[in-house]
Amino acid sequence: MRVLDWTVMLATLAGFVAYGVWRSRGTHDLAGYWVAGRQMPWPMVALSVMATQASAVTFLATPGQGYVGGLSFVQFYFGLPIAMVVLCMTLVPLYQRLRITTAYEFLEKRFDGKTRSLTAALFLLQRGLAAGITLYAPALVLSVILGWDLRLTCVFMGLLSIVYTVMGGSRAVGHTQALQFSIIMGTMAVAFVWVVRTLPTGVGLGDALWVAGNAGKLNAVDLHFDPKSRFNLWAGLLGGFFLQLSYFGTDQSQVGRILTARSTGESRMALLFNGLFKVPMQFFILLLGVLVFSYHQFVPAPVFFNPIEVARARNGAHAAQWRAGEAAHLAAAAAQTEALRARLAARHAGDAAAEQAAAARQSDATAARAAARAQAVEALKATDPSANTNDTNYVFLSFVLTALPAGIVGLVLAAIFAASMNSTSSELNALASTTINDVVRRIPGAPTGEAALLHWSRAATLFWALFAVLFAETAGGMGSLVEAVNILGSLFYGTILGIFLTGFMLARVGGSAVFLAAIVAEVAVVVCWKQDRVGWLWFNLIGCVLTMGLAGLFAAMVPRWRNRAT
Amino acid sequence: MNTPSAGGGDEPPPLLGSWTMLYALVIGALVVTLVLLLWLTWAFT
Repeated sequence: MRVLDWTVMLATLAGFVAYGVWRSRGTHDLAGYWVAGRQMPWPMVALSVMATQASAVTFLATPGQGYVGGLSFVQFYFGLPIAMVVLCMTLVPLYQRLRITTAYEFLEKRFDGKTRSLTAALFLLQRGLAAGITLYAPALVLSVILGWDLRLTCVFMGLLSIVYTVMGGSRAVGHTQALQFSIIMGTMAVAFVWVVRTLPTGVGLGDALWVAGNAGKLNAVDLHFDPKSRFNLWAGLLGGFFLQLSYFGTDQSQVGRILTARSTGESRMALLFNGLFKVPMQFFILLLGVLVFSYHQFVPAPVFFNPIEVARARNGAHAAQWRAGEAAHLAAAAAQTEALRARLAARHAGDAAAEQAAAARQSDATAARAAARAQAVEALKATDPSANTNDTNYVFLSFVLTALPAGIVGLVLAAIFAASMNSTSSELNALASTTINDVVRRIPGAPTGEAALLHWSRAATLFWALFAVLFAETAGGMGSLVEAVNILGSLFYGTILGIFLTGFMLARVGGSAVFLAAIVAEVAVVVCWKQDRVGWLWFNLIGCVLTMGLAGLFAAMVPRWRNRAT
Repeated sequence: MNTPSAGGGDEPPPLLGSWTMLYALVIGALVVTLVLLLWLTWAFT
């Protein structure tokens, strides 16, 4: 990294932290600390909601997914707009009317204390681990690409958000997120424009899309129904709908954001804004990766994007095999570029025969390039059998560092750190408010005064921050980072959503029925995950339907498990 | 526990006049996005 990049990155991050600390002033009460005093205007809440969901992983791994797998990942978000509408019609007005602080308070009002405690515990378990991944995942990539120490990177990323989150709680988090997310989006737009600008002379955006399309990268929608397939229209609409409904409706890191709005209407506007812009946002981030793919059809890509693994292979016992693979890859890439340029020229000239001949040469060179990469990856595995052969997460940063100009590189890196701060701060605030409100306050003899609870809330935020950093320090081998976060969520979200929907829709079901149903459903979801028979997006549907179905069945079978208030 | 009406709260939205219209806008935008992405998939693959 150049001096200008360091300057831009550190100055931007220092500015974010200073802004967060400045926004911390005036947080002297619990309402301010937990729900920003319920005084946030909807545009701020909307940005805060989007910032919470878009972690650093979104900006690191999603372009990599676009590079490797094309646009298919966008289908994961198809259920989101429908979930936003359903939440606006159901849970949002209910939460605002009840003036609750955490989502789990609703469950005690509707069922009983044990159902509230079970759901809060599921949330704390899932979100506590996810907070560690939120720190670890980008730290891993940044440490490898920048040559930093992984442990120090985790600590640095944690420290960035700890200060203002502990001091200012929800109010500081919300204001800082709104600023950071605006700057992140601006930075990604600049990166997008720059990718287009770096395309070789004579290759326009249309050509780049055509190149990507020919390689099958513009596969945005798959209409085939396959329960084992991770991304298709039906998994996105159905599984994605239940996942997003649970995430935004029952996960305190989002419910805490939604409750900061001044009214039901403002909460709704924030969610509908998210419903309108989330899918296009993800599409453009994936498209960024697709365009990086097109760029590397003209400018040779490294045979492998993870520089640590490459260095090991170059200096290991199988260095000769690695170097042969690297050389073959470079030669095949040059042949591929030559054929592609000839093909484009023939296409522009309308010469179908020449285009066909060039396409055949390009196809041969592409196969040779893939074979050379496979040979290099074999050398990696031979050098170190535990080597991570998935380099998807390193694609985007590798491009940023080699192709973008000084200053922009620093800005992109600051944006990635800021994205980590965004999601981490929301998670810490939600974990702290749930710990104090749903656990500590329910313990006999617990402190009750406003000042004492505020003090304990700050202590809980600090505790969860340290937990996340320590978990991040010990985490490893999680495979695809985006999937690790989403699979972890999907293991719990369906059951949690089932509990909430039972409370909302099945008036006759009492606390004991839904409590037992939730435990059985959670066991069933874990069994499904272990058996690996269905794609993980379906866990959300399975957990939700099982919880609701079993709760209804138990209430029908055992009269004393019915809701007596009906 | 009472459930709120589907239309929702008392206050009107700041645009389009009713919440139902806003919901329709979000779902309509999703449908348009799906159609555009289907076209993209079909046209370039």
